[in-house]
Amino acid sequence: MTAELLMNAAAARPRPSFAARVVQRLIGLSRRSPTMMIGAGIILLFALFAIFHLWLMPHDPVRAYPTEVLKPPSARFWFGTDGNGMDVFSRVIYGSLYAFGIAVPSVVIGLSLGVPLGLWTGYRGGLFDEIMMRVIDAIRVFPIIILALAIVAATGQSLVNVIFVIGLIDSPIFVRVVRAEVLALRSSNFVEAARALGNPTWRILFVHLLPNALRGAIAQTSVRAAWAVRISATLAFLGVGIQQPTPEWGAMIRQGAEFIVTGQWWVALFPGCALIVLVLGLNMFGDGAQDLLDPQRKTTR
Amino acid sequence: MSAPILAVENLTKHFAVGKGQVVHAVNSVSFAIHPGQTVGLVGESGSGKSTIGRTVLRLLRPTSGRVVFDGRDITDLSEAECRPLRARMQMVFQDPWSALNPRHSARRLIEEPLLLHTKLGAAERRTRAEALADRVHLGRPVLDRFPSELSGGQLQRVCVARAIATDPALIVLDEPTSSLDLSVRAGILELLAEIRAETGAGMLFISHDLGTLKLISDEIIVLYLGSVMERAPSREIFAAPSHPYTQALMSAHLSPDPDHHPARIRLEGEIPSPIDLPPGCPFASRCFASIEACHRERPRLVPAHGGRGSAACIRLAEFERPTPPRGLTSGNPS
Amino acid sequence: MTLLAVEDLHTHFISRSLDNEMREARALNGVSFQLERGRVLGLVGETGAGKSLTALSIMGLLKPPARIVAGQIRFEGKDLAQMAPAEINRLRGDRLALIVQNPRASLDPLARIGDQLVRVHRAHRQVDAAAARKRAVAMLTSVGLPDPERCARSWPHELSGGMAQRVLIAMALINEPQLVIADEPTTGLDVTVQAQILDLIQGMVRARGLGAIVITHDLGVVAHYCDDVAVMYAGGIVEQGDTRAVFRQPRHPYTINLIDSTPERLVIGSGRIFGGPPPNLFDLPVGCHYRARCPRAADICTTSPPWVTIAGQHQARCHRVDQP
Repeated sequence: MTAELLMNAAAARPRPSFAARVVQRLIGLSRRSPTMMIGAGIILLFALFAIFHLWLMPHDPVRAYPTEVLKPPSARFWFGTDGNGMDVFSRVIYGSLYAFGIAVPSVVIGLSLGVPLGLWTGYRGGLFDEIMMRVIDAIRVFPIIILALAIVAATGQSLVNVIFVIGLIDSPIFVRVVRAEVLALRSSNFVEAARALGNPTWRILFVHLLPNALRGAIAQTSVRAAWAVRISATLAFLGVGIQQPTPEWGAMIRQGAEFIVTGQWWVALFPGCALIVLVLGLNMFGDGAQDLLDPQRKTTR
Repeated sequence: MSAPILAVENLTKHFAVGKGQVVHAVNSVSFAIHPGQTVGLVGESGSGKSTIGRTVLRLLRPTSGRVVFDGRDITDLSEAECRPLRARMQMVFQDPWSALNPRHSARRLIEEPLLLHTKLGAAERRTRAEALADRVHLGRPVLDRFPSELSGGQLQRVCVARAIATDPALIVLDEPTSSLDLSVRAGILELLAEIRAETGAGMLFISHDLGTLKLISDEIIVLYLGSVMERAPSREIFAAPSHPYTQALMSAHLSPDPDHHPARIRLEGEIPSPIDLPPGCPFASRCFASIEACHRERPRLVPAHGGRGSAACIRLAEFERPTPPRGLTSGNPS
Repeated sequence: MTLLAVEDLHTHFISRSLDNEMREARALNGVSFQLERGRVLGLVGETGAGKSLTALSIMGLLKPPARIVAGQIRFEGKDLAQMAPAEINRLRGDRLALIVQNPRASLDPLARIGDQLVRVHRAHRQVDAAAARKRAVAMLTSVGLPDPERCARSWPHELSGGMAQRVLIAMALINEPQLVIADEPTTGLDVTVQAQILDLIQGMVRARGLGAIVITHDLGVVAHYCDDVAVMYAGGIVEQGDTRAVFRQPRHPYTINLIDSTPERLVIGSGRIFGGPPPNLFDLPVGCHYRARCPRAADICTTSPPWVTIAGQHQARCHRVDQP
């Protein structure tokens, strides 16, 4: 039968090389979730900017050219210069270092706080869980910006504080996601089986529940990173945490906002675009990864 | 006969569900299991058989009554006190796919009870795990695979290996073959028979399938809505079931033999809710032999099968017993 | 006229893996059988044999990546495999009906039972709401539900498993179909309820001259409620015929294995191996698909086995039917 012949022919094909397999896997993933791959591409691009910034910047990002203040884009200054005479292009490139430098630690903080808490409260249940969830709800209901402003104002204007604040405010999401997974798994058979085998509670939490509950949290990290980048830029825009002449996109947009009225659009536009594209990329990757990792769960974030 | 490994006295388990309502899952059940004996617990949904299995292992706390394991009263022990006991009483669950952590390899899953309850070093655990895999007829290469890569039969063998790893004196099996394909069930039943012969552990085999129970049980307990309806040695109960419910259950069983159509006892209606248990016999509302008195007083277990068993029915001696279906009685070669 | 004639049905799952390779799972390989009015056909086999897939193929309910790649499904003279989706949609619920597994999960949780029945009825018949309602209640009565009026007003979650299954049967039969397919209609139900449901289905078949296909893995159900049986393995039928004939004289090694592995026939300690690794539908062996697990396998089994007629309608697909 023709079908049988075809199948047998397929079995006899030689196995492709490693490089070819990697390429095929990438193509396969792209077909499955183009969103994820585009997002991954964008993140990779900015990561490269951050890593290789020294080679990519034509000028020192904090070097002021007093004679070249507010010059439009030209051959020398690709994105023009800002109010201090600094090269916008170099500053945008350097800004990606800040973006990752804030996003990554704050997401890590969020995970470190949120995951154990989510595990514990999900497993314990009862009154403890109720109280914890109300506290979390309270944090989430509070306008984030006001909260961040208040905390940073109280603790001082520094980059480290900004990172901590973002991480702290981010952790409720992880608590929720991990708790949801734990609730679903808690009454599942394998937790009962683990109990029946004689597992102590700590082992049930960390050896059995954690790896399975982590999946949801991992899928969230990219989206939370996007949020962290956006929030830090917003805070900088509001004058909190990061000051001039630090080449952080939010701060740059803040300065540039003043000049849009007078027609110098490049000062705010380029860092704004960079911000939008990176945040978009992180969100796309997160959405796509979530679909792939957990096809049953809709990406509502 | 040696002392029972498990003795259950008037075990009762109620669950509170919202609005002050209570599910009367298990109501005053008593039985004993001796070493090397397999007791089969049969009943339909809502009979409380799974609850009994879990309560006996102290995964649930009894509402009242006593559970005595190997001479020790374990009814009121705390979770921490029960944990070391788990080395000696184990459970095999119905659904092997969900009973095993999908992220652990088969080897790690089988080593887990050894890790928890013994002081064996890593190398020794490895050797023991391999020996256990051999014992349950699981090929060595299977040990390094994950649950998603194994078939139902292989998974259940992993579960059995875990259950016997610490040489338990009591094994509770909650419908261990119900989720498996027909041809795979036979293999698991054979395995269980082997284990029983080798270890002399007492087994509580919970199932809704009479055919399976006949094959593997020494004694059968028939449950309905949390109460024992009949209890007798396996051979006796299949030869001549005394209680009307047992008779109805047996008549409804379909044996894979198209030439024999047993006289069916048709039960009318649905099983009543375990929240609002009627007074009197729980089976009275569907029983073909019920009389007025059945709805008033709860029948106690009285001797049946010439004293070798018991049944809870006030009309035991009176009515005619229809012929039980042939597939389940003496016609069977085993 | 034969009610349903399935001829050489091939259903494959064609998809791209993560490694960007085309993968084709041959889930149904040349399934052929016939069904007459007033008879019940039982489809048995292990998980993955293709029983449910056959039902879905007949009903036109295949979702990508599953596709019918060859074969005919002749129902009342028309080929269902070639029909446009809109046309087969008109037949479904009207002349063809499917009773699915897991009744409580299959009912719309947001609509009352009566409304769901009315919905199904009015989708295929031009009747007014009152008449549809009357018919719905009549159907609930005929499936043996106590207090049908009350049941019609109930929500699905208020029903027990047995009651929900009866409701599904009522929904399937409300438009008086010619063919009913019941996919594991009693799995998960108590044994006393199971008997009632099966009596109901069989009664309907006899009384109204329907044709029914019952998919099950329970040989007891087949033995007592099915007139004919087809045993499936790896997407193909390996033995079929009159139930009595097949049970008395099973000829295909798989069928023999299946019947001998039931608890009623099992002899503990005989050392026989039942079952084995499930076939890999992506990579089925050449020739007989059962070859890897068959105790009778020989060199000749590397070629496609022929259909051997045992007696009358009883046939088995095996090279070595007569060997022990």
